Amino acid sequence: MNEKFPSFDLDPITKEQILDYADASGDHNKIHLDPDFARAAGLPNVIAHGMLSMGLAASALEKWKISPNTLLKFESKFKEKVFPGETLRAEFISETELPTGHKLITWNLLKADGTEVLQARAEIG
Amino acid sequence: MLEISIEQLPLYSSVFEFEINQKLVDGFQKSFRTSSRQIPPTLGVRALTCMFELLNRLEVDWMKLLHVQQDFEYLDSLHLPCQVRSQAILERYRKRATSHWLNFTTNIYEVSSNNLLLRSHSTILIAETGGAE
Repeated sequence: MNEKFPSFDLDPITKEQILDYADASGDHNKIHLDPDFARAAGLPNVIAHGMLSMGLAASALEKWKISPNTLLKFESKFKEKVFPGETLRAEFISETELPTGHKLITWNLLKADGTEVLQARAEIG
Repeated sequence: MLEISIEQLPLYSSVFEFEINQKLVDGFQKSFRTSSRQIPPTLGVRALTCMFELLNRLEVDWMKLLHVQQDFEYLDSLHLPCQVRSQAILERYRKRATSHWLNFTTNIYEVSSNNLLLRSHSTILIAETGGAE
C-alpha cells in the first residue's frame, strides 16, 4: 500500500448513477440507459459511460489531496466496459518527475476481479 | 462509417455554446457520488457534444468501437458561472484494412475573454466490420 496515494474502493456502479451521469453530461445514448437496446446490441446489460469511469478515476486526485489548480493534463485509456453492480478500485501505479519539473502520476481503475477498466495519468505542475 | 479523404481534413464541427455553472458542476459530482463542489476535471466532456456531432455526421456505428483514448489539457482557470464555446476538429484520419482511426481536438474558449480554457484530444478506433466483443 502506497501511503501517499492509498488505493480505495468506489461504491458499486448503479443504473441510477448512470442516469445521473447521462443528465449531467448530456449523453443519453440508449446503450447506457435502455437494457433492451443494450441486449439487442449483444451486451448483457446497459454499460456505464466511459467518461463516467474517467470521472470516477479523477476522484482519486481529490482523495490524494492534489489541488485542482495544479492539474495540467488528465488522460485516460479505456480498456473495459463497466456494468451496473460492478465495484471499481483505484490503484496507484507510479509517480515520476518529468524534465519540466512536473510530476506524472499514473493509476488504474480496476474491477473486483482485477480487470483493468482504464489507466489514468495526471500531469501536475 | 463514411470514409474521409485527406483533402477533407481538417473537418470542423458546428460551434457549441453553453454555460458552466454550479448546478452543472453539482450534477456531475452527484453522478460521481461525492459531496465535493469542485469543478471535476472531466467536466469538459460536456463540450464534446460537438465532436459527437462530427461522429454522427460520419455515420459512426458505436457498436464497432474498439478503442478510445481521451485527455484534457487545462490551460486557464475557470470561474463560475462562465459562458463557453467549443468546436471539435477532426485533424487526422487513417483507414487501415479493418479499422478507422480518428484524432479529434476540441477547443473550449471562455466567450467573454476569448481565452482558451481547455483543450481535449480524443483518439477513437472504429472497426470496419463487427465489434469489439
